[in-house]
Amino acid sequence: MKSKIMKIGLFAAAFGLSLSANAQEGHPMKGSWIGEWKGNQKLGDFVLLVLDWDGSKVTGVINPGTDNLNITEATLNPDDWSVHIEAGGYELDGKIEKLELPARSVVGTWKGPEGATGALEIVRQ
Amino acid sequence: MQKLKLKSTIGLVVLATVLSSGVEHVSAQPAIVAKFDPSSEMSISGIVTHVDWKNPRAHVFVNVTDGNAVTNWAVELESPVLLRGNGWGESSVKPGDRVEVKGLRARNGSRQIWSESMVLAGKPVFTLKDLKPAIPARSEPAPRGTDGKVILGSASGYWGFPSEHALVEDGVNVQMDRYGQLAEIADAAKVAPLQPWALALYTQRQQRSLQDDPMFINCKPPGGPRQYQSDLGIKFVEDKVNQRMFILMGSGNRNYRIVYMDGRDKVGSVTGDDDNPLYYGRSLGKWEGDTLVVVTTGFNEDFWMTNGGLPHTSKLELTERFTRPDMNTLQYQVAITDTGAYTRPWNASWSMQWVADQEVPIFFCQDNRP
Repeated sequence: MKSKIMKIGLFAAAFGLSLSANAQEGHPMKGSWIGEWKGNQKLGDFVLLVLDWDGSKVTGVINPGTDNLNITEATLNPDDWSVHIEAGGYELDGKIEKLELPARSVVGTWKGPEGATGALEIVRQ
Repeated sequence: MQKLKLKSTIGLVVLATVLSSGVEHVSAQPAIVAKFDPSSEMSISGIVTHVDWKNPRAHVFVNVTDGNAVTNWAVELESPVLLRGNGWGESSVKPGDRVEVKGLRARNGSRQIWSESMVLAGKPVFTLKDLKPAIPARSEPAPRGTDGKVILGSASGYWGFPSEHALVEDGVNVQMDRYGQLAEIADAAKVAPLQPWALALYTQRQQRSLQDDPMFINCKPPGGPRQYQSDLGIKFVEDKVNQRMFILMGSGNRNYRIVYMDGRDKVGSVTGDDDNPLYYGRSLGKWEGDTLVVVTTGFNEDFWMTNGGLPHTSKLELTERFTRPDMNTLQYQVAITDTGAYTRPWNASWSMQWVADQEVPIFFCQDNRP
């Protein structure tokens, strides 16, 4: 229970920080994203993605410094702003819900290597 | 007596007239339509309670009485810089004055009106006139220093009133207003060779009437070519002893930019903090004949590099060429290379006009308010 409260608090604090974060007006996926992949019993609910844009593809890592998962595939479809990310056996699929800064978010689902699945919600810092 | 009239058709006509009237006024802020709805014209009559004479826009607060109810409305006007240039001041209307106001209501439904005119005792106040100086029939040659080089700046005067207000690739013909809002959003793909994500983002910004412009909502600087798209202008100050050219800006909270003219290397030598990208990047310049050529890299991604919202990335590199063919004309050409946002290098160009015997206007986007 205490752990859950702490996670919620951490997410809330991170979300609050994101509202005052610097704008990043370039590629919509570039930057740090924090949030939750809910129900991830192996790595925990909290997730951090650090993404970059090299001019032709999105690169990056999930949970740098803790449970590093190098991103092997990441795409953004600008027709509907849908997002697909693969890393370490995980697949994240979602959509940029609100493109405008500072409250840009991706909402969708995640699938784990052992068939685990759940809801995904991350917010850009 | 409260008098509220919503007239969508008339509102559109009024706004179109205001924006296309040919009045080359000094507009310091992005599209009015980002905040105010051109389809919701209204008029009020009431008593002035307060005049808030601050950039980026002045406000006059008016108490409107309807029966026993009194509501306070904020009437938003152009910037004090512009209004002062037209002869108006903080005391042009005073608390206690009765005024009639026509304008456009705020999109969010709050009691705010955009108005470029107001009537006090039957006479209009805060009206705007053409501030663009007339171009002489016969222009003098560009001034030159003792070394024979063209002088881009002088003690009194600045460059303003650009012939274009938004980036468009040379040779492309699309219609847009002075804020960079396309007349036809379907023309977005013509404006520049955008990568698919950049085209989608640019289109989205256009569809939202540029209301997310960080210069508008967060007072971010007009980095990149945008610094030459404001009527508030720029001024060159050359420091020959230290081999630097300073570019002072009238639009970006009086920002300045340093162009190093001492032949230093581009990589890692400008200030030693190349991991700290900047709004104006890091610039190295040199003279090629009568043209000042400036190469700039090291931009951050926290701003829109043009009115209208064309995206860029930190890979942006600009090669700018400044030429003064005569006393009154500054030709600006920019080559844009950004492999993060565009499919190929591209060019844009326009000119600016010399405003003699005036200092570059002082404009601060103070209070961080839209």
